[in-house]
Amino acid sequence: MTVNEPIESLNDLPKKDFLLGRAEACRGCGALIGLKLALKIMEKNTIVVSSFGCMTLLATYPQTVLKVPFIHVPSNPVAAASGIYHSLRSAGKEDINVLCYIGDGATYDSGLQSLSAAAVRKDNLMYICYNNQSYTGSYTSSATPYGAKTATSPKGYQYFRKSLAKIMASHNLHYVATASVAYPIDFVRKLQKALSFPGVKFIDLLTPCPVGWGFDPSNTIEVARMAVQTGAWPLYEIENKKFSLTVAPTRLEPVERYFIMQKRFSSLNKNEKERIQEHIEKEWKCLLRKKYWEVSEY
Amino acid sequence: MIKGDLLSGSEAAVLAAQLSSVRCTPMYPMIPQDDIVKKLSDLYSSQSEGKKTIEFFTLESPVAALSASIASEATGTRTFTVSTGPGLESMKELMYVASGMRLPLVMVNVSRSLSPTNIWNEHTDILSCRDTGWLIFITSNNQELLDTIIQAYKIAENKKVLLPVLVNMDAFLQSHTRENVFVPSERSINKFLPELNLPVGLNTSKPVSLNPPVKEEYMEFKAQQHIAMKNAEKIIRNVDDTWNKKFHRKYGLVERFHMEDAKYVIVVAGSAAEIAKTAVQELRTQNEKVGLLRPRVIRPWPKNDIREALKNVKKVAVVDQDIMPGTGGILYQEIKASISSEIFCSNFIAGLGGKKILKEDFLNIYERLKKSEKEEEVWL
Repeated sequence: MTVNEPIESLNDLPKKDFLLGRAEACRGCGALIGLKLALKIMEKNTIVVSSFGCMTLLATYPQTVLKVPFIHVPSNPVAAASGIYHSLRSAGKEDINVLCYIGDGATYDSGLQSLSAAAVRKDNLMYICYNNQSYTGSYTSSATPYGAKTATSPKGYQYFRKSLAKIMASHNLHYVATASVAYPIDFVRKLQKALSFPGVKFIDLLTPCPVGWGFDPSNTIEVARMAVQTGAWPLYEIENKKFSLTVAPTRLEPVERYFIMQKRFSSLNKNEKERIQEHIEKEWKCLLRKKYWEVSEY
Repeated sequence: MIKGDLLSGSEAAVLAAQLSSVRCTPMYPMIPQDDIVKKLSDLYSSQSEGKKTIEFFTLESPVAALSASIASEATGTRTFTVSTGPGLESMKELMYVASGMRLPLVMVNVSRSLSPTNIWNEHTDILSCRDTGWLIFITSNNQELLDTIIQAYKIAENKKVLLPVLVNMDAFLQSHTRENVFVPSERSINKFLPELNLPVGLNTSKPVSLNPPVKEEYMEFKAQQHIAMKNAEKIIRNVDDTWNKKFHRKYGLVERFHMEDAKYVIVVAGSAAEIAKTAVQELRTQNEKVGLLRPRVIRPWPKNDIREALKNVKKVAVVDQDIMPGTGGILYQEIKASISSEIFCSNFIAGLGGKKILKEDFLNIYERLKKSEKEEEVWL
């Protein structure tokens, strides 16, 4: 059953793992950290659903790293999760959790239709978007931040991304949140809270990608931490329509400190960086005053 | 004579799903399969809370409905869904997945034209699925439809097969037309079709990872799928025999009508075959040596049955209610590949976009076939 004990520190995290080592993912993959943490909390009675993306490589025949049932569905994965939920219901097995662990590509873009529809249907699904702000192989998605270099934005992405947390919040869900793998206690607490609600619960989890973002694989946590400390990725939750920041640095670091850690922002010039800094500061002021709907996120 | 019930194809399909103890029905309504969705929805609402026997719910697109059906079946639940024309085509990506995952899912397709926009009957959609690794049945009347859907679960769930099945009915001509249908009893079907016992599925006590990427062993899996489809032919015959013993209705992989001494044969699938039979009967009263061959099973393609049936025939008219632009009819190509090249075989393209096919059309086809000296392609 789901671990419900309060987690105050890393020592409180359950020792048992349901995601084993040696996945064929990249060294320093942020997404693996997220899934490992999630499964520590959700435990044995979980069915994981994923779609085309980096997590396609969790299982490569004949091996798998998962000790829970897992299904990989190329298209409309949330519809598949709904199918599992309803079929479990028809068999009276409603104590089994369905976890969608799906990348930003298949969440923000191709799977958005499916996610939105499932949210309205109120199927009991825990949805975690492992967000490396790109498609596998590093192509832009609509989660890519302004200025990021990818194979399809070689001069830096010229659009501002959308905030899926905001979109999902409009679906009147009980629980929507953002998280970062550098703040595991915050993430895990959010997961526990989310699981206490019915319907679809959504967490947008920032999972830095060493290969796509251009940093050393040993720096994944530092990058994920700096994203939060510069305000580039604010951590918040919206519980029953009430917005609150869950991690609020007393003073934001200049976003330049986040940019210099990653090669993907190397095409930004001084003006653009200032523009982004202003945008983030304005956004932060609004978020501190809980004016979530009046601001767009970087 | 015992009278059956007056049932449309949509009604027969819903009854068949109920009799087959289907537990989960993820659906997307799209004309002309929407009658099926409506009836299942009514059924679900009429069942009291806590006593629902079918978990019915709707999705946001046909692909979503198939995605949900795949996952539901993978959880070990007998699942049923529907498709039609453009919806079926959009489901194509996942159809390969359902077959590759070896899931015994059954989907009823109401064949509908694809392009230009049109809601009426045409077989291009169902025949375009012939590469997907699904078994395909094209029924010609609602009795056959009801029987075939129930049989489909038995065939699909056989351990030597474990492949998904498409059961087709014609748009409006079957789906919205009431015919006399004998409905077997629940008890007799429960004996015929035991509970689903999936060998591998999503089960928390035996966790596995489904549909992972495969590299080295890929061709081995494809070979297994290939063999399973070949096994299906024998299983279809066995199930057909069992059904005949219980219910006294036999269908076979192809239907032969007045074929014993036929020199000229009309080949046609679906409900148009019923019309063609009236033409054949009339011609027979005039002592014409004409017969009808109806391919019922499209996959696995019954090459031997067709070869046998057309062995001593002089001329064949393959009537296609489908078209491969630039090439011709799909059935024509498959039939030609199954018979000796010495048999004269013409292609007649009819009924596209739901254009009416009447008895007179088949009489004309026969006249044309008899008179023509060269194989030809004729559009009605």
